[in-house]
Amino acid sequence: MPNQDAFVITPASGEAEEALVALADGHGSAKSFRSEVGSRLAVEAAHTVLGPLLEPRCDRPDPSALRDMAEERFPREIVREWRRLVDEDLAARPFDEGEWERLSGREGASARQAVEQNPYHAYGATLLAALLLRDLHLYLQIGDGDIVAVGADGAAWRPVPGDVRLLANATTSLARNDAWRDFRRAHALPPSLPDLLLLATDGYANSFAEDAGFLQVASDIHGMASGGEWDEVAAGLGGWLTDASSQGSGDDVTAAVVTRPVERRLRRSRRAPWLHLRCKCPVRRV
Amino acid sequence: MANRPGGAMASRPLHFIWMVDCSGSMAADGKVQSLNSAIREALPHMADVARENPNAELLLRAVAFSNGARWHVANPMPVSEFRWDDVEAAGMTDMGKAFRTVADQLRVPPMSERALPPVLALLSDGQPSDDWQTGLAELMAQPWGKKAVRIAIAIGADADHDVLSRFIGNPELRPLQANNPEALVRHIRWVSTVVLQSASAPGTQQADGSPITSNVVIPPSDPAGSGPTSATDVW
Repeated sequence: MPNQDAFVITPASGEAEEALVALADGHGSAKSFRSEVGSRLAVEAAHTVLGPLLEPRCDRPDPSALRDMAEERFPREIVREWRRLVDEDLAARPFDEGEWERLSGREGASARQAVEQNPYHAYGATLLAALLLRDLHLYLQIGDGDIVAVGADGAAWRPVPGDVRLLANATTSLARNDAWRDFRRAHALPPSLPDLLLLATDGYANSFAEDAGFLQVASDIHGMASGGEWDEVAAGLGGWLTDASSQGSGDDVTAAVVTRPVERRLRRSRRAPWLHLRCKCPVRRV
Repeated sequence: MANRPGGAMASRPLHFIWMVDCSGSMAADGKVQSLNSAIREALPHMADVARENPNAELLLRAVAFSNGARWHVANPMPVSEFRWDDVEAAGMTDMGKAFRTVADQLRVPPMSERALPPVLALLSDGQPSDDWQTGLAELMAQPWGKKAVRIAIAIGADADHDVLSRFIGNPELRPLQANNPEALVRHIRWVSTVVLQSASAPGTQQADGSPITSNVVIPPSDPAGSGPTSATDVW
């Protein structure tokens, strides 16, 4: 089975004053047999909707207006764009008999009927997105996965509220009808912008015996970055994710780390550039 | 490479609970002996599934119910350490108390939110003698009770399919009917292998809003074991 995660970081250079980070996790169920495409389209949709706000010549609304837009408009537009991209893909590559046979073989005829009624099922994916502007952070999430923030004192927390529906292997999804309603969101404003953000698909948190052990990941990386070990973080992250998958959940794991360089943090500059790092786990789920 | 950040890693716990009817009627025609030997024979197969799924930490327990319900094996045990001591048949069929006993252990805590959906395998030959509806409601009130994979095996012609179906709570899954020792072995083997394998590596499912349906897709069981009565039927 292919890795069903996807990510996008804008700008791709990995270093900028403002940035967009988006991660998506395609569902692993038999019904979501094109979810590796669905996750790629999910981060593409997030980039299409939120990416223009990074443009230098963008006539950007003020932070208050952007926060309002995160309540409904951005989720609606992301879902609409994702569905448009799925429709496009499906028109170019209709479901074939091989896909139907594999689905019916694994889950029976009712599974095929479910996908025929809602073809977006086949592309089902979750999405995590962080829009990082000088004067505002917006965090958007649908489904499982984690956005973890770390403050100057090294304490880690999840800014986005939880969802009781996400127990076990169940998740909300871009494929659901009215999916925009399932988006959860949060924001941060100066001077309370976090020092570091960790975004990860759910396979990472599920790999730790205790949730505190997962939050400790972000705190530890913050400590390393603050101690001048950013290069070690960059070099180690891929291996850490591989370890997590093999020793923990067995799931695909993708994570992105975003941090402010130490010297900029000390100056408390409001124009502190962000340094980005992303790494995709090469592990294939079996 | 730098030291790995974060706390201790661990595979995800997968709780498997046998819920066995030890009422007096199970003493008839060797039913309880067949149950004891069938579960014992299934353990090596469960160990095989556990080995093939290292990212699931299989933990076994068992509840016996007759006059009341008690933990036959109380502590969650890795399959390699699990031993099946024979249960004996005597008394009533307090299935509702068994539901409540399991419900109490599916709370968070002691259950972890990162666990895989637990498997509850109910085996019964008769009709509940207590308030099973309240017990089942308590079980289903627990988030892990709702998400559990619930399988039922009806032993003999007197088993109450309606109750067992209510326990399963999934119209696509029917109770498995065992009218002879061979069928019982076959069904227990299926639960111990096919169901366990599905629960060990469930793909992420879109939450469908259903209050009771499990998120684990169970392949169809062997129809030969659930068919009409045959000449070999003894129960």
